[in-house]
Amino acid sequence: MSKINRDSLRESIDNILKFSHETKKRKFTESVELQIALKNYDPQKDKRFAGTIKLKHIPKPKMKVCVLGDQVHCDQAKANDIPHMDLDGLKKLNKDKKLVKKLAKKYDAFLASESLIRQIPRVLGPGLNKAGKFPAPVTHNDALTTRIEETKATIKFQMKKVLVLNVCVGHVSMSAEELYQNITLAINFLVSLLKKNWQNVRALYIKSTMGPSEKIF
Amino acid sequence: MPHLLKDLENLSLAQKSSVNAKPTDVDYVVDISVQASRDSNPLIAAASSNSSICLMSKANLQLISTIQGHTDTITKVQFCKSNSHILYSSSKDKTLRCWDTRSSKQAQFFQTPVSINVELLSMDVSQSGRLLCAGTESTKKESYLLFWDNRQPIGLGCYCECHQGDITQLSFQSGSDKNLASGSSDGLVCTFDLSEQCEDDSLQTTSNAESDVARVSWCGEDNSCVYAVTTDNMFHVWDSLEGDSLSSIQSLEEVQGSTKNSSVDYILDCLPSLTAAAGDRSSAVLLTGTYSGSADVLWHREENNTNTVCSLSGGHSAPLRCSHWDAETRTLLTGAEDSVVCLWSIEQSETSPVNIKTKHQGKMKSRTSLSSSEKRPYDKSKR
Repeated sequence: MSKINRDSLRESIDNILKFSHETKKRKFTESVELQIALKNYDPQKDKRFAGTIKLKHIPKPKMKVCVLGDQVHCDQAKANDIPHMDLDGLKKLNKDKKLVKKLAKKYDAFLASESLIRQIPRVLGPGLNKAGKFPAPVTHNDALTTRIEETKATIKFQMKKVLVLNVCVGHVSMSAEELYQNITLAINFLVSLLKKNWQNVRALYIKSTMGPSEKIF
Repeated sequence: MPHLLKDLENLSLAQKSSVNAKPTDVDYVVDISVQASRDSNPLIAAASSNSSICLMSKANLQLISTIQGHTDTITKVQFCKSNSHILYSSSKDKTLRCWDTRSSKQAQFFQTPVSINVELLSMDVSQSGRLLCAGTESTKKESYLLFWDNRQPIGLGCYCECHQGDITQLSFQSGSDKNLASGSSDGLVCTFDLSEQCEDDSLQTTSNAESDVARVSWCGEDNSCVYAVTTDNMFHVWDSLEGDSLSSIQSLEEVQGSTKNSSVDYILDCLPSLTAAAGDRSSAVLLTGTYSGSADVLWHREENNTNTVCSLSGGHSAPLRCSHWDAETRTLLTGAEDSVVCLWSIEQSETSPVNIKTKHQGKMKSRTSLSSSEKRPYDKSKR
């Protein structure tokens, strides 16, 4: 983290929030993105640059997570007013591709009880795989709500053939401090995956969806 | 098992050789495959990032010949398990090629169908050598598992429902023609039973690694488990029949604190025959490395209980990219981004020749084992 000046990062965050809240207010909640440009990196032969980051504060609060649960998890979900389905509900879809697709479209992510998850390919077919929304396991030891928060706070990133990567790290309704924590967490994690660490980083920018970008490195 | 681990402490560098002729531009060793022959000195094939394949003899890592033909980065090399003279390779040039290692000439050529036309990122050959399977990168959220019969250049068909992201790894269960595991950048690891009629039925289990999967293979007793290593250093082992999670490492910190002197920058692979072994299915023997090129063999048991079995230093000077553990000869092969292939051996070097000088120009070095400790009999019953 030593490479980035804390004060100037805080200033950049303030600028972004100010622009979004005062200069040009949009009719939706803009997200805040971190853009990273690499150097000394050859996408043809270097190791893939991809994975997931678990942020401290949820960057996409509107994400809808559905629990595919056994009895215990369904009860917990009911008590916490979380969308849920049990095995019988899934069996009713009858492996119908259209219905599975519809289910996948309705939610952004799924969680499933460990006992149920192994039956999903047999009950639903590969529909959820195809949609990229195959559930993550949840055990009885995990608290369901924290597991859902975790799922919401996890973001995927993958560098394709260009040396630039875009990662959503928050939204403009978050406080400056929350954004600061998320951004530093994301930067530190991404840099740790690079073999020459900071020597692989050409530039870092943060920006809101519609706002101008602020160079932070 | 504990006996073998004890032996592993003696793992030391036996041979080291470069695949790169010119010392100026460094090519990475991206993949290694070892010939399945009863011969005491099998060939190894090391794929280099300059789209050539080097054939070397395993005992002294002497270069035998170089195979050229691919026009883009090679993603995987694999010897045929039934006919040891046949070598397959897949490449980002959208082809899968078959080579005869006796002549180093191309024997067969398989191309992705025109309608698909995407890069091949992974490949494997079934036990009988008949069935070839290749995984593609994903375009427009579609990625394919392509199948070929090795006797005809026209494909048998494809699976396209089970993954959304790039298919980064494919692995046939050893000894099987029908059980296949696949790993993808969408985080899923699927197992298939290819004897079923259609894709929906052949999909047996799906496990979610929740990150970009870099390596998938079979491990444990009877190869009944599947493990996955992700690009951001998570590690998972599942039972291939039930889909139960046997062990998992969620972040590098779980193994980092336990190493004695060096830090760990990434998890490269595991030693399949020692991972999820009978009696102790939650343990794993991992191969980890640092960006400066040193590597460690770690024994991980449950949570936060990891020890260093041995440190492999003096071999590489850049991050490791691939490894191959041979349980029978108890040797480990590693390839790295410094274009060097190293052979690490538990056995002492009496049998292997010392100081081979090769004509090949470049960073050719051969070293003999440095440490000497007494040998222990390999106690199979304790595994």
